[in-house]
Amino acid sequence: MIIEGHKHGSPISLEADAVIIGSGCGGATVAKELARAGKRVVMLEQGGYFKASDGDLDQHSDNMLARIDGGRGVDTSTSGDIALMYGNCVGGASVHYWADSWRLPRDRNEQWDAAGVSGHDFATLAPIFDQIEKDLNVHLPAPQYYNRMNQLFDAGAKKLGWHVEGVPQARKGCVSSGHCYQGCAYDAKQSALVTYVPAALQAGATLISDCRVTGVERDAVGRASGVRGRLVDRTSGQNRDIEVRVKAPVVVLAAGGFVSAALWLQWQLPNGNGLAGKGLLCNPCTYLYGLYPEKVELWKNIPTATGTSQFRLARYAQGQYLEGGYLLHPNQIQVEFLAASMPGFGAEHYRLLERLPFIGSATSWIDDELPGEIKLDGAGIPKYHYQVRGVDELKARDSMKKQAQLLFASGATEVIVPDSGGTRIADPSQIGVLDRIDLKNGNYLFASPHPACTLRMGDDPATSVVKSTHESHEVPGLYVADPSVFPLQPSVDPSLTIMAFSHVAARHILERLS
Amino acid sequence: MGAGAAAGIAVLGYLERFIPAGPFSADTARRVQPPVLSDREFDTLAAVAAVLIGAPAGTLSTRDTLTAERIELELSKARSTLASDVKAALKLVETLPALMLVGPRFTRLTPEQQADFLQRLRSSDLALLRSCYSGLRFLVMFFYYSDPRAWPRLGYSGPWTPPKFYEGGNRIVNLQALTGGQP
Repeated sequence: MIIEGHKHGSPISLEADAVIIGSGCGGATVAKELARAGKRVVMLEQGGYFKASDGDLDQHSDNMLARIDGGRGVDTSTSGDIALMYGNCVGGASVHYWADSWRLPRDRNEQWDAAGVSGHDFATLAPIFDQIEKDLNVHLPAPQYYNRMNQLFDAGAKKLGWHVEGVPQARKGCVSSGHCYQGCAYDAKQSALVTYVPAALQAGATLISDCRVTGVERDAVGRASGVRGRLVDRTSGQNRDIEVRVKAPVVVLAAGGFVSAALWLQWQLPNGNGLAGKGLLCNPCTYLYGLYPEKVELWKNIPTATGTSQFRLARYAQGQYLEGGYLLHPNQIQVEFLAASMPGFGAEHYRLLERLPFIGSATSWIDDELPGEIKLDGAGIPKYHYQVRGVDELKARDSMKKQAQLLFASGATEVIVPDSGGTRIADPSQIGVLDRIDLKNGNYLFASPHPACTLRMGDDPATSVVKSTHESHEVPGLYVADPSVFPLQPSVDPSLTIMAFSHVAARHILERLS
Repeated sequence: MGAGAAAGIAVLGYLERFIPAGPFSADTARRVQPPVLSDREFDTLAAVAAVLIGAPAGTLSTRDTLTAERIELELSKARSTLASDVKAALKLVETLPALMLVGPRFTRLTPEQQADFLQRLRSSDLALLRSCYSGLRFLVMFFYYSDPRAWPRLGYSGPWTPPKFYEGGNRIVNLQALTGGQP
């Protein structure tokens, strides 16, 4: 059953076995597993329920960011360095994502095991990944899905002697429309919206959209016993005066890496070790633009059919950073964001934008290690404190140098750095300037699509917020099923890992409920 | 915005009353009600938008795209401190030229002087000034280049799907729905 909260006119009071806050990769997975096991499940989603079949996913940024982006596309960290990218709709951030679908690399499994996470080892997750990949039709893209930027990327990488590989995609019947970041108008991208949410509903789950949870209810001994919330008005984004209450012995927090910890702090949930909100990692993205003598038309077809993981692991010698610590891919960016990130203003910028079809781009996701923090200000508004620094800054600079090398090798005649000063690189011999540009205080805007680690998992309650069962150390019955629980970054797109972890969470929840 | 910066902006707000002002130039019936920006702040925003986009005369202007109006609509929906940050940035942009003895307040400078001043913000050693420039610039660029009328000149075809009205969206039709009547 679906209740679209923005249309609903009366209070809602339900009882369930589990109430799940959030309907993205984590929440939808838990909902599906529990509902299929015969449990009464209610999903509460702050955002709206938007369907391609209704024409809602029209891919126009000024509509779609309002529909599906958590900060309406304008949220940044406190320093202005990091653009916060997260979902706020049924399906969560997966409605935004590029559909790149990687398993958690074995080296990360081992690293996370050593960091105190149990029950999520390689052997446990492997069959879960098998099932997820089948459910989401994960496959390597056929040649027809390589847009011109992807073809140039391959050519440039090969010239440099780098290996390239197809990027596994969660798509079915993709029509190559591009604009994947703005949602799929064709239900081809296998986001949670078209996979695990419908599966959960089919198994009997209830979904209430446009519902903002305002607190977790706890009984006299501190166990989770349900949630309360309000329906949301879509025009203003404010709470309506209509209450929602769900009683359930299991509450699952799955609001995403930027939101779950913020809610934990706002709701003043127990935080004895002070770790809730700490440890924020976010895969900051670097990117450069290249001017080509031929049409590239970045916005066409899928974003990343290809890429290289050659530099995924950072390399060190005698404790000194050498290179790596990021993936490297073609980039896809629509004109509004390209205009906003292309440096300069006035007539010069106006003329540069007229070369739009000839602008290509490459991007990297930094495997960050030095964390930031989510805190609340005096008014209770979440503030995201994060700066790219230390070894992560070295990785960022190295990734940009590799991007510049690749853009030139693939035929770009000039590289444009999207920093405030508008640094231009006319020749590969000038790439060293990337070691000196200022990356702080709003000079360079990093995108950050993969927040994690702010409610980290571990067996030691002194150093973690949730157990390896995903249950809070301090609030029995409260579980977390999103990337907030990761102890470290996965070094690849996290969506499949979020789903796999959430399968494990569902198993533990079912044990509790039985 | 840090406490020091906030205090500085408050001082600017006090000093602003002593700087001669001109008439409001951005008269529009398409502002969200109640407005988020004062008339002075809106005027500054409209002037900043025109300079940042730099559309030649006779082409699609920031008045045509209702860029300032749409930014104000966006501020009315923000749940973060975006509105207060933008207001502070506009106050700073409007008053600093006079306080730095560059000329009168921003909205009374010539377009060339306005461009020079924004260039100074862009390349300033002070992070606060650079952040003011970057933040306003991002909003202006987004709420100009998201207008489909800006696309043909760029050779950009846009999405294949037609736009569908969304009550929480921020297109010109949303302003029309809120303020009524024809544009």
